[in-house]
Amino acid sequence: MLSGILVLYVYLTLFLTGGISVYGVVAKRNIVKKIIALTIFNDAVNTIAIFIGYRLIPRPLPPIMPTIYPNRQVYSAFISSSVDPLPQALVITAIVIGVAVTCFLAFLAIRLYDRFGTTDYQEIKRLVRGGKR
Amino acid sequence: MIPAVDPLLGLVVLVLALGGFTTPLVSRLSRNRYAVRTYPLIYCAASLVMTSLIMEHVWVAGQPVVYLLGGWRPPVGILYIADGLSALLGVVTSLVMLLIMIYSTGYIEGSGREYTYYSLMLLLEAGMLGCIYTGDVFHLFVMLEVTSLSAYALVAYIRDKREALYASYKYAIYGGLATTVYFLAVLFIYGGVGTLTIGDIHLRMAAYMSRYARPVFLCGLVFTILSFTAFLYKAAIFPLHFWLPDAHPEAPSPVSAALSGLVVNIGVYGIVRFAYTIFHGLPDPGLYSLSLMITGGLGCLSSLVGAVLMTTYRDVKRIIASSTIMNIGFVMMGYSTGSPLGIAASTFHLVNHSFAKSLAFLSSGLLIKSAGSRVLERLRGLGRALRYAGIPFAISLLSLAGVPLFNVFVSEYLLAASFIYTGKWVFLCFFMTSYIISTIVYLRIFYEVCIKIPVASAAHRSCRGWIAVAGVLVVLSLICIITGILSGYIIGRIIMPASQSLYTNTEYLEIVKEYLLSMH
Repeated sequence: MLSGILVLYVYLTLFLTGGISVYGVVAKRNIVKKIIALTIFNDAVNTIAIFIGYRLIPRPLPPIMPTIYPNRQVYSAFISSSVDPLPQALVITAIVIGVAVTCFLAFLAIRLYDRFGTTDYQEIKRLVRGGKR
Repeated sequence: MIPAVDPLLGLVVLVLALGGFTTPLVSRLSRNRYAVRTYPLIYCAASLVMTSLIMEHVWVAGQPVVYLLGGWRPPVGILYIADGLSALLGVVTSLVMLLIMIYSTGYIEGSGREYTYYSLMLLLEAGMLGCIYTGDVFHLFVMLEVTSLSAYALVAYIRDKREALYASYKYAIYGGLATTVYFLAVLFIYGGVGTLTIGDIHLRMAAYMSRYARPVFLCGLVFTILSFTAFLYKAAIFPLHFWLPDAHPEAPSPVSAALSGLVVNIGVYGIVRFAYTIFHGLPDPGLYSLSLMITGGLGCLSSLVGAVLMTTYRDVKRIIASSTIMNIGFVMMGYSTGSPLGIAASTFHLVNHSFAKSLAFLSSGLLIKSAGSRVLERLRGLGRALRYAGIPFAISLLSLAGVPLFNVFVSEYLLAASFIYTGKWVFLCFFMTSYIISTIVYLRIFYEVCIKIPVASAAHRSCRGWIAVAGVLVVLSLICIITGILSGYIIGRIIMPASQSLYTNTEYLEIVKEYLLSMH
């Protein structure tokens, strides 16, 4: 019962964080804050992935086979109580990709500040649009 | 059914990635500046040969060909699978990329940073071919990111241009959001049905639906909405098209050609693959009809928005880029009819649009370079002065405008026929309205650039490798004309088998099932 509420709470928090960070990416005017909001969104999604791997097991164990020569019983105990390792593998890949995107965006933010002298997205948009379409 | 294995499926992506990563090395090691221009061409030509061999293998085998990455079987490992549609799109992608790369050798300015351009272009192609050939939703995410990241960087290739930096930032920040949303969709489907292979998702959803209809439907619903959000962004469909009129024109012209002609296809391919391979033929047709409804409705709006946007700009590249929004809207409308004719027409339109749009960008690039401006009034009559760019530009404009005898006319005619055949009168209204608006805009550009007498003699700036550039333009023009004239033959021999393999997903699923069964 308690663990059920806790799991619900964790998922709710993560989805709320994700939602707020999406709002941050769209609504924040500062280009660096937009990038920070994007990394928060990435992290929220990655944490959701880890939690999906826990599969609502009451007492999860690490996915390591306890014996070298397992029989049917060991297998079924292993399957019913171990954490799914695949989402963690997905998360590692997603983190690496996220780093690449964040790096690129940070580089762009530096160049933008260099060229426009401001970090305000709306101001940059105004300067670009200025005059001709 | 015994699966036909083709190792080229895995190899082509790896070879292109190898080319992408070794290009900077070659440019550093060799003092010869021609080396960095010709070295990537080897990889592009090799990829064209390999994708053509894959297509031939698919034809000969008469069924999808597969490759297991690392020898691991599907639910655990990554499956590469090419059916008719992926084989066709693979060949189109590598052919257009090869032509764009040959063009780039004569077009892209030096300044010692050329190797970043070639390296990113090769990675872009690797990402696109990976997206097309993969049969795994998470691998699709990785390849989508490879494609997107190269595309973001290529938009900002001229890194001192303020507009390019702004466009690249806009594209990248929302693109990062979209691909992360796609990752969330992958997690939902993994949590729901416990597999990542596209065929296996269908099989398991079909199996679970009999007992847990409601939860599986909800999981599929969330998966559809989240993954389609990402693909609609990549394909620049109406509510998520806002980045395209900034990003596509600000890039150098060959990059615009690759982005507008090929990268948007990936978004379309993802939507179509999910709608027809995962959701088609499930016991509960709700998800299938929902996904077709989303694509059809947004495709209608997208075509109209694209056509209206075309009338608002004076910048030639912006007009051509906005017409991508409209054409991809047409393609989505055709796919959402769910009829074999609509699918064939859309596939043909997708291919024709790739050729005609890349020709339009490549030839307009030369005119813009010569005029030093992208505004339509400044290009007046320039097509007459620079014939080797003006004639291909005229051909691409007439083709995109849907003038008979050119390739796009045939596919647009078939699209209209499919709307009438399936009784989608709303689609036909949207289609005809956008078609008329866009034709007027195209013919206006055609008149301004290619018919009018130039006001002042244009300063002739000769292009460095003009033989390569002109050769590419001639080849693309010939493709546009020949595809139009021989359209009956091409539809019967190439387009119909490809769209048939998409419409009936049983062969695809049989192959995946074969691997799943042999594991136990």
